[in-house]
Amino acid sequence: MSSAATEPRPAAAWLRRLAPSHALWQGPDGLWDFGPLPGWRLWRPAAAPDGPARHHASFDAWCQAHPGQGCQLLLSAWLLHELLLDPGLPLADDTARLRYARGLLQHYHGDAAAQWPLAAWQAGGRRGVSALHALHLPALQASARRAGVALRTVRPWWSLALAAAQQQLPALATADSARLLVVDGLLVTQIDLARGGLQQLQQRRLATACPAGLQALQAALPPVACCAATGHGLQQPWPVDPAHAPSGIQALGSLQGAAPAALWHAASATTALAA
Amino acid sequence: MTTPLPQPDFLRPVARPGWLAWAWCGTGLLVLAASAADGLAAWQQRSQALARLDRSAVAQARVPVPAPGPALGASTTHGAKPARPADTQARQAEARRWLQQLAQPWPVVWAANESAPGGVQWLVFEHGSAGLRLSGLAADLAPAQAAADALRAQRQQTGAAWQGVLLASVERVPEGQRFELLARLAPPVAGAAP
Repeated sequence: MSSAATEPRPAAAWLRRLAPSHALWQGPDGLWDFGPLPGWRLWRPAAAPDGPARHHASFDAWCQAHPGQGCQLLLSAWLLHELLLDPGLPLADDTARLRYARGLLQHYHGDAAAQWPLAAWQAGGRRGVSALHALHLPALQASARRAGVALRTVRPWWSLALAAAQQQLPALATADSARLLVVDGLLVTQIDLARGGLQQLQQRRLATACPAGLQALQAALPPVACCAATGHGLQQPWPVDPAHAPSGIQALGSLQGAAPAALWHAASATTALAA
Repeated sequence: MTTPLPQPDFLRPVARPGWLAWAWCGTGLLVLAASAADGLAAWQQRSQALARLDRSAVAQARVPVPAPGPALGASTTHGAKPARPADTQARQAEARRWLQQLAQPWPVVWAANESAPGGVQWLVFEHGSAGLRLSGLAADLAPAQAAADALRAQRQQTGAAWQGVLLASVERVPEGQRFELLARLAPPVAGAAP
């Protein structure tokens, strides 16, 4: 009844509902709207969303500004804990894995971890669990419901960054050993791959948020054939001169700024975001 | 070849089949159900047809052995269901007619046809309770007479006797002479006795 009163034209509401979801990046300092996700669509969007990401104070503020639309929420590493499960563990299914991860998180983080939303994932035989510790998921869903927003997925940013980086640098998916560093200021998500298969997923801290700090981190890790860095939050620009650039690390885009410059690689966005 | 990428989603913490998988599953189940229903219908149709066949075989077995002659109409349908006597009788009469036709000495009858000399084109060939009726076309009357003689002489070859061989009619047509031969087969007893 109330929705009928606020929505005089149901057709327009349906069109908004069928429109592509917005990609929202949630960091510790707010939320950035990157516009409609790329991909195949029935009609061209009315407004080309090629501008820079727009900042909102919170997810609730975005919902107020975009009633009736759809969105996918991508979460910064600052909001998450990551667990990579040992393949030898006798865990039968995802439910068992979540229960095991819950126990482990409660052991390390106390009783607060009992309420954290968890998400199991698997890739090429390796399995893991992501834990969302900084946001209250039911509150997000309540905000979305109030504004009629369709909250379609809530996923870690590194999973999308990995897909986009593999599109941008195919060597990451083919090299015998490769590494992607998803930089989030001082927090770096290290993803090690072997022929595209995930081998290691770990959050690491930088001593200083600058290219040299990243170089130091890379030097402390086992050497790999191909190493790339993507993300944001470094205080200094990535050196243009290859002589001064950290050796062995290929920067995918500028690593500066309060939020990622882009969530997907424009030329190959369709396949990177197919999921 | 691409290795799958991790897809964690806090709204769906446990991996579940997507809607496409459910759609495939539903479509497959629908196809299975449709073919099962179709197969069941075909099976029922088949068993009904088999039952009908059995019933008609039983009805045929009840028909008395055909004796060419009278007393056929008097055969009673003992044991038959009284539900549709007219139907049963009609079926029995039909079966009797077929059996009577089968009882004719067809090899002899066909031999009559084949005994004709060259130069005769056969047009009509009938054999029933009335006897043999052959109609043919020839250039002149001589082949027609020869055909009648051959029919009379067939007794020596096949042991069957044709009685009253008659060149019933001769008609002049543009193609030649159209003639008709009538004959009757002698009763078997009389034919076999000498």
